[in-house]
Amino acid sequence: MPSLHVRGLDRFVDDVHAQFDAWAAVDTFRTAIGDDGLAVLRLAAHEWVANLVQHAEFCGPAELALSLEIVDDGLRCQIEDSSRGFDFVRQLDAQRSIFETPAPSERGRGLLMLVSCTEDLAFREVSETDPQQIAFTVRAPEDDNLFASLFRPEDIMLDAAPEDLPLPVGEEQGDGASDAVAPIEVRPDPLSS
Amino acid sequence: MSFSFQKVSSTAAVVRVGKALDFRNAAEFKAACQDHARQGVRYYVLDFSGTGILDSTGLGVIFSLYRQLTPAGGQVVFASVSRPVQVVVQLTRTYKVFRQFPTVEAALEAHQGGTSPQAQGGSSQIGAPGAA
Repeated sequence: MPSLHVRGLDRFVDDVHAQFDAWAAVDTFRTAIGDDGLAVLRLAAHEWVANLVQHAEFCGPAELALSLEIVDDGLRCQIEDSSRGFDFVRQLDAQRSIFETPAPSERGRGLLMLVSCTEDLAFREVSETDPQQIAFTVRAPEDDNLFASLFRPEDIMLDAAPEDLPLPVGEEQGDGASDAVAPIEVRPDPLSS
Repeated sequence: MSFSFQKVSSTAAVVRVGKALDFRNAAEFKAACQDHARQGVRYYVLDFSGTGILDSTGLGVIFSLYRQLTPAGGQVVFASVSRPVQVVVQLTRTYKVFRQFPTVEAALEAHQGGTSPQAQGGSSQIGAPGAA
């Protein structure tokens, strides 16, 4: 399984992207999910790493391990980090509540993006023996099959027809969009790999 | 910071986004856009040629700019959209919001062709976020 180990918070984002640049040149990965699929996978990884850089607390050296694996008809990405961890589900719920505020901030949608554009997402909480870990799969995107609704209709289309408006998460209708928001598996115990 | 501004008229500017617009430079990008808006710029052409990263925060500040400009008759359009950015645009369906042009020149021609924000009353000042 190809992997990357990064040490130093300030290097997380650039090193992860450099690794994805290298993986994007690997024929087996490109064949697995295509260039667009790789771009989605990179984006999902970026959003997670961005969340770590901005919000995670590290009591020791900030370290990150990134790996990629070919599965069935997709690619599975796994990211472990040395942070003290955080409540993923609570943070995600907080991001979803952004749609209930009158003038939501432009920030705080990264986890929504991550959840929306990946499948089989599994999160392992940090424990005394295991680091925090997230894993997710991206399969070759089909036309219009992916939908990450990150903005409220009234915030983005001031004079648009209703049918042109992206809907908030959880209100997608009848075009396969709801399939893109998969349930999250949260594992308090170590993943069996 | 990887972006740069080129003011092409009193009301229009081309923003070369550069390699990335993400959580690391989004605030700086937003402040720069607002500086130009205060100078009267209402039409922003975002040049995404060579842009490898547009994340949720980067997209968020573009929406923020859009929300502020629209009541004043302004526009934000995309030009020379790179494939990674196109994937984000497709994923978020923001192609329904931001007009796209194959080149910066085409975007500027469209602006000069009659849909100028100035012609629609561009003397308005940008409002506070959410003040539509």
